[in-house]
Amino acid sequence: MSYNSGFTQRFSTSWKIFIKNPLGKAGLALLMLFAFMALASFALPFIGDMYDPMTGVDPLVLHSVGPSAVHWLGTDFIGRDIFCQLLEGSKIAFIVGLASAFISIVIGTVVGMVSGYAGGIVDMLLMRLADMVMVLPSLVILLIIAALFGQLNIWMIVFLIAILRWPAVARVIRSQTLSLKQRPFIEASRVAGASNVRIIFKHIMPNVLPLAFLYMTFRVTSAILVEASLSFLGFGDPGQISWGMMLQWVWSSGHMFQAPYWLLPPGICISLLTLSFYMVGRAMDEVLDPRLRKEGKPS
Amino acid sequence: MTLLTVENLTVGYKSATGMVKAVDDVSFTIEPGTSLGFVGESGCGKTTIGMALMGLLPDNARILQGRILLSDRDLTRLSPDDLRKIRGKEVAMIFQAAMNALNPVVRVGEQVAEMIVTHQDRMSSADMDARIASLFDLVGIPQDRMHDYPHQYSGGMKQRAVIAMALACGPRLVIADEPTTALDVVVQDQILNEILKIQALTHTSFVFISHDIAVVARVCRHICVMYDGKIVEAGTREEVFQTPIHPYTRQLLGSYLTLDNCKNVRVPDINVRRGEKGWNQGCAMARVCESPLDDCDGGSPGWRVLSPTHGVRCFKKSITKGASWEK
Amino acid sequence: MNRSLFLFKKTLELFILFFLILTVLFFLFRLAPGDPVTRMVDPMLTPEDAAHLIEQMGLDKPLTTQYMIYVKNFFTGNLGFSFHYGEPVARVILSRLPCTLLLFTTSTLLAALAGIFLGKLSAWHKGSRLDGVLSISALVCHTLFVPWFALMMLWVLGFQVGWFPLGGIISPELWIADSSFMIKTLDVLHHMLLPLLTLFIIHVGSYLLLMRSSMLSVLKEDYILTARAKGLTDRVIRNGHAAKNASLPVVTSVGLSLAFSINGGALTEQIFTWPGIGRELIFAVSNNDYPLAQGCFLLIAAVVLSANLIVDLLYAWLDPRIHY
Repeated sequence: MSYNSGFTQRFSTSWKIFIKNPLGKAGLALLMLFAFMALASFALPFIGDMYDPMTGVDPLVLHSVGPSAVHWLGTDFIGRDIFCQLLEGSKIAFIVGLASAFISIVIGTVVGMVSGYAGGIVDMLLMRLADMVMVLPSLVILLIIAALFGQLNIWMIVFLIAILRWPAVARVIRSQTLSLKQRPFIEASRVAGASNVRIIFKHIMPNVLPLAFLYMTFRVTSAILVEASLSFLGFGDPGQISWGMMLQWVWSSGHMFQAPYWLLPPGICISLLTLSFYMVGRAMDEVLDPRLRKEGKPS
Repeated sequence: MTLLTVENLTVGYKSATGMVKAVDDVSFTIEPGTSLGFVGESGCGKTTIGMALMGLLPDNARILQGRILLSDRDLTRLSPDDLRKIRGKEVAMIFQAAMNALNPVVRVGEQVAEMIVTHQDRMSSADMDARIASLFDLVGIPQDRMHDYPHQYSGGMKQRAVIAMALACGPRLVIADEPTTALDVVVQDQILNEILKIQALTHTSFVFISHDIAVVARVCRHICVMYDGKIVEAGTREEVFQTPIHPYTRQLLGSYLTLDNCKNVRVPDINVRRGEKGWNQGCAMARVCESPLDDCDGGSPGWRVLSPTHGVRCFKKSITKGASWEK
Repeated sequence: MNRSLFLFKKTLELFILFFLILTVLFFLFRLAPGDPVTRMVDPMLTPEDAAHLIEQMGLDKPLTTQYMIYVKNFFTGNLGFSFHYGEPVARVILSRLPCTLLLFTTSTLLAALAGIFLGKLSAWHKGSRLDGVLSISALVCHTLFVPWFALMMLWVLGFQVGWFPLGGIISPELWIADSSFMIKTLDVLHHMLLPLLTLFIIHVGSYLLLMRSSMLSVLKEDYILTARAKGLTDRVIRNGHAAKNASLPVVTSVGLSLAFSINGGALTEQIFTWPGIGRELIFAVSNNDYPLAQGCFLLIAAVVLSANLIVDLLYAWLDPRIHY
């Protein structure tokens, strides 16, 4: 009870600092706009077959035309509605970004806590591994895997991005754990006979979680960008429309110099969505005490 | 001629609730070749005085009132660039070295040299080396350590290097802000001896700022005791130590343990009534004073001159000797 | 520890990492669905040629022997034959390497230098209009979607305004004729400007943001106060003391963000049809040219690791406190 009220109070003060920050406000507003777009994509099947982002071809058009009352942003090269594809794409972007960031945060947090808490040889091995994974270019790895295993489905992509992008999180969580380890309450619970697993999950984890959530916003950004790049190159999940795939179509169908109504929206959406996650992250960064962190920001 | 005259200096910090006075109506003078010590608890405004003398107050601080006369120039009226030319050349500062007062990626010798380059005419590199070598000699660092980086120095050596830097341009006044606080007692003693030796040699004036009255008393003939932004008692070392009047001075001396007084030490309890929130008129000291008078609630006490060198800011006329700390 | 031992340790570390990558790749090629032989030997070859190649790569031998041959082949520069070019992979990718290095190193260096310079100004004038404009633009640059931004550059500066060619590295008509060296150089530069500008804009933002935050924390350090107390001019304090310390973390981050830069580099090469390794990799993957894809991948890994080594050495050289 007392813990909960303390938590809500802490949350409300943090929220006040957060919302005062112009970056945080703008980022959150943009995020809500995109979330609304993603939710709206669920309504598409009820509007009419013509507006299905993947199969809904306008029989009167069948090629790319500019914006009109029927197609707000125009149609693509076989007459599908671009606006509907855009809505569908925001859903995919959210799924990819959040799911992949969540997995990498889980891996990174566990590795970071274990590494920082255990120290010694475990720490050294885990951090070496993190260093190694950190220097690998994720897009290039995904490309070679796509070459070998054929078209990847969306969940495979999500998972692969996650396991390539945990090291930055692990490093930050590790340094936080190291400083927590020095605090008396950890020592006290060790003296009281708590097991290592219990100390890690009961005492250390609650203290590193805010930081982990902060880094999740940065991971979302990079996951969305990697998935979009992969789709743009034509190695995305062919069963899912994503913004990267829309750009791929506009490019490979030779419309990029003729159809700005088609070229602009997906790119603006990707850039704005990643920007808004990034802005939210920066604002959260100011809420959390920056002195707690010693490592640099991930790219 | 008086080297430094500070008149009614008042410095405030902008805060969310308005201006907060950190230094309140402070006046003092320093003669050439003498040294003045400031003692007080953290937050009493002693460091702010040092920063005001250097013209290095933080952005949110303002000099609200008063003058700082170095010889005959008023430092509060100088342009930032004129002030910069005085800094280091005429007024120098010694910081606490343990807190990274030296730039970790620049060789120590270079850090001394750049100061000389800034304030003086060009000289050949051989002359410069000789100059730095003599400075290092003065503060007791082996000359061959000139080209080392700060992390290769011990704490005491870093402090010596900081002193060498302050003396590089032969300033007339040196402000030493807690110069020995982070050092262990033996090194602290060596550094204080070094400062005394240098002062005798160079005839530089010192302003010595510390929370440790014993340190100040070793170096300075004159001592100002500060509390809550005001000088509450000022006098020669002997006057302050032998006939302390102000209750805060007495507490400071009382909390300084010697074999003689260790039985009598007693820091008074916080006076509950005056410690209440919202109680803000009267003497700021009243909340921890051991025997406040009724006058103390009425208003802030004025400055009372006891002798040409001794003065105090307290309503109490006299204090019977020996009746001090026991109840 | 002395410098050469440090150098040796770093090199060894990266060499081990490269070996791990090499090994993982070997097993990935054998784990993937389908027949590994068809992945390394062009299905179009005559049976005799195919048999010779299988023999040479040991594809009919047990896995351990195959692995030994694979490692030996790699270190003797034998990476197999590209299906598409019908040439040794090593020859193909080595001819692409200079193009990639030219574009990649120039853009990374320029972006890092400009980022450090602008970040320094931004932090020094914190809260000013300049700072606001710089930080916001840096934020936007940092989150731009690379392929889209490259397409926009191509569309606006290449197609609409027409200042730059739409792709490639040279104009063939200039090279067939007996052109002077000068004209050829200018021609390459002309082709390079647009991809260079794209990569520069994409990377400068993150370096600027990093330098800015690093500089802000350095400006709070005690030695900056000391420097001011010494009466040094603002310019000396900013450039000599603050920026020197603040740029150290930026150097580290150049190494850490190389992976990110490689991704962006590959996409940029693809869009501007710049004949580099990244584009070759994408081409190989799209056309199931497995030996070529493997070669490109290994070369990219080698480039990233060597660049990391250079960054580590640079850092050690800049920071006297480093423990070798």
